[in-house]
Amino acid sequence: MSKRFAVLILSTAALISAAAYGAQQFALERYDLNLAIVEWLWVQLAAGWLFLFAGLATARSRPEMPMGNWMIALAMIWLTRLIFTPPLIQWESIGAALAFYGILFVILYTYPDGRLDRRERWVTAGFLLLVAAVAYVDVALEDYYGWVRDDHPTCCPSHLLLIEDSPDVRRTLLSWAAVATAIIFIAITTRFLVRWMRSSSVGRKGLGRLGFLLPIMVVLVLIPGASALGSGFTEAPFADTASSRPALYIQNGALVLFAGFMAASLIGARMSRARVADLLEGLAEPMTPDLLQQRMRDALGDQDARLGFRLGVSDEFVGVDGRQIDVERSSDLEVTDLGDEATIVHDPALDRGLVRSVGAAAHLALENARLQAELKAQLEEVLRSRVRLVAATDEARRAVERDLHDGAQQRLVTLAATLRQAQRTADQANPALEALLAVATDEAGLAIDDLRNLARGVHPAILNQAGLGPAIDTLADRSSIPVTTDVTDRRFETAIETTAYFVVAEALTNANKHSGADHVVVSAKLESDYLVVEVSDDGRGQANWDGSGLSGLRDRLEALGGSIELASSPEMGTRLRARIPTSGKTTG
Amino acid sequence: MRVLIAEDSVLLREGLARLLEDEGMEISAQVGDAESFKSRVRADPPDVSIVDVRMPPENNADGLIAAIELRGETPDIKILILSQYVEPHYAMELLETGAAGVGYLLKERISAPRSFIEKVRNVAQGGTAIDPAVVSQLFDRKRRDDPIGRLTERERSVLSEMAEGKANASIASSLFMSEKTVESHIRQIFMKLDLEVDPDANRRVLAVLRWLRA
Repeated sequence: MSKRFAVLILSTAALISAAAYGAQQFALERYDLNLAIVEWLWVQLAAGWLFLFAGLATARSRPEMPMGNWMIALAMIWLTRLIFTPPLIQWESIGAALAFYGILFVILYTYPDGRLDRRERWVTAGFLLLVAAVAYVDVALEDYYGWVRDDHPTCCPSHLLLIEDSPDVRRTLLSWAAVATAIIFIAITTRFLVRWMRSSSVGRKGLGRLGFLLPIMVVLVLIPGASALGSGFTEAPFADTASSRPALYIQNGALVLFAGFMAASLIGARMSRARVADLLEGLAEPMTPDLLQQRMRDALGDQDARLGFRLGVSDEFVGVDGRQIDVERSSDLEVTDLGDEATIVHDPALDRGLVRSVGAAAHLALENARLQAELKAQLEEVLRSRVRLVAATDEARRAVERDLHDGAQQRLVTLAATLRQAQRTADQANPALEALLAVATDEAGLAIDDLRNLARGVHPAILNQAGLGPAIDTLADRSSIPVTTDVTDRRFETAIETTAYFVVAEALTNANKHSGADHVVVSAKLESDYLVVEVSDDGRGQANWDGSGLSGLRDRLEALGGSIELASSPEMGTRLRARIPTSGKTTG
Repeated sequence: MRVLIAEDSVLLREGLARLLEDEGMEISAQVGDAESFKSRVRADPPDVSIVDVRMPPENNADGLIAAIELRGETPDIKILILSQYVEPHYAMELLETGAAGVGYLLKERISAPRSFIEKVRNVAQGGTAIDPAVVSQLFDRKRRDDPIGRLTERERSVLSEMAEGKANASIASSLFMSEKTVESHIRQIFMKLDLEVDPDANRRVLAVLRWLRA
């Protein structure tokens, strides 16, 4: 409902109210009347305005329901009725009666949403026909205010529909009509109660909040019937007599109550929307579908609401429990989509605005969860591929070492042996050749040394063969700075052993090159599922991550889920400490 | 003398066989993997086996492991291990099975046939042969440590020769000194290193190497 429409309604209502007041003043002055209905102008105005506000608020907060509009219409008619201050203008015209009783009927009949289905439309039409007939009888059989005309001949001309002024017949007919109306409204109340009993807890909450007001509304129409019965059909309903005054009290009071409770229920709905904020607040933490569904239920106040996830591109949904939700079959459920992927299956009685708000929050949470899951999956894949890269690198290095060992190294050894033989053969015959061959043999020996060092640097065969201890011992043997070692006898996965080995190798290389240390201590121990490798020297302590193999090692360690720390200072020397997770994967 | 060759490189194996045959040795068998090495030794024990550390089936230290296993069964089986790499660890492992009749040499020592053959013979006769590269690596490591620093240049040479498994006579000839001098050097060394003097040359090797690696 637009703001302009609301302003238009309110200003029209104000004009009507002013007109009603003016008409009353005019009637009082001119005819010196003192009618109950005039006395009660202020009460009736207040009731009408309250009802109008309730209608506007309902239309605003639940625009999907016609109920708000019905309420606005009823309030407007209620107020308009006040202009037709008797005896100036005859109120009980057929149109006004149709409008007032028709709308009242619809409100009560279709509560709470105000929607008319096909059958309800026919019932309403039938009721309107009845009202029209009664109103016609009412008008046609009485020359209203003929008694006023006795004193004021210029007042109140008799109207066109008048057939015959026969108050007795009319009174009897109207009394029966009032009784019939009362019966009809009792029927509506019964229908309502049946629906209340059959509806869900949520629906009951919605109906219940205002439902007990229904009887109050019924009072509005019962009073005339009751007063008719009470007077033994001797007085027309709403006749201005002392006995009908309590009825007027009750009628107006009922209307005010109805408006008040309607407003209260709307405030209740607003408060339930505040729960959406709680839902949003919880989005920061990781949300499982189960948790989200619970949060959503709390926010909706519907513990039967379910979260559904679309299966592929089909129209089928599964719940968080993995079971299918039959959306089509459950006609007493309503489906509100959350994006393309998910849906809320809920009680149709829920405030749609609330469902939309909750849906938006839940959609956000789902998106969030989906993105987090995607990110996590990607990250995991990256981590896995990093581990694979490390393993592939290790394997490639091993392959290179193996090829060197089985190929070039063997050939060179054979070559050196052959050269030596040639040298011996040439010995006697050709001293010059012998000298050349001696040089060649020495060169071959040097080539063997170079190749051995190269192959060992690529991958130390002893690491696989004998494990970390012997491999680190050999590193220590080759160090020009004295090294003390303390290495576990346990065997680990190749990637772990290789990483530990290269940490020590790199640290010892750096210590030998730059540290000027007198002593290095190497340890590799298993500490609660971590292989902790530590290399510390007593040197200058100027090591850093740049320009050394250390940063490469850091990548390698992080790939395995480990960490490496470097502490280097002139006072303490350099300490490199790496932690490699073993997840208990030791082998012997 | 009957020699078994266990080496997976055919090229090297053939070369080695030719070399040994030239020296009048008999090749009892040529095998290319650890399993056949073990079964051949068990079926027909040679005077000495020359074994590559790394062999099929695992291509790890299969040759060495097989050798240790065989010496566990029959301690007087003579084994000369050939290795591509300088790994004191392997030498020690082998020596732990008893220092008599074992050797650990780099493969490239084949290219100095005379000295190589001598070492093969030495091992076959129950001696010990440790590659000078292994010894020198151990020496390098110990050099900065105090006790070895107290040795004279001469004493260090004697210690190094001892570590290679040489007998006193052999040390005397390669260092151009009398056996008596060698003996007195050895006494000095053992005193300085705080080791018990052991007249058995083979056990002496183990003691020295252990000390070097400690």
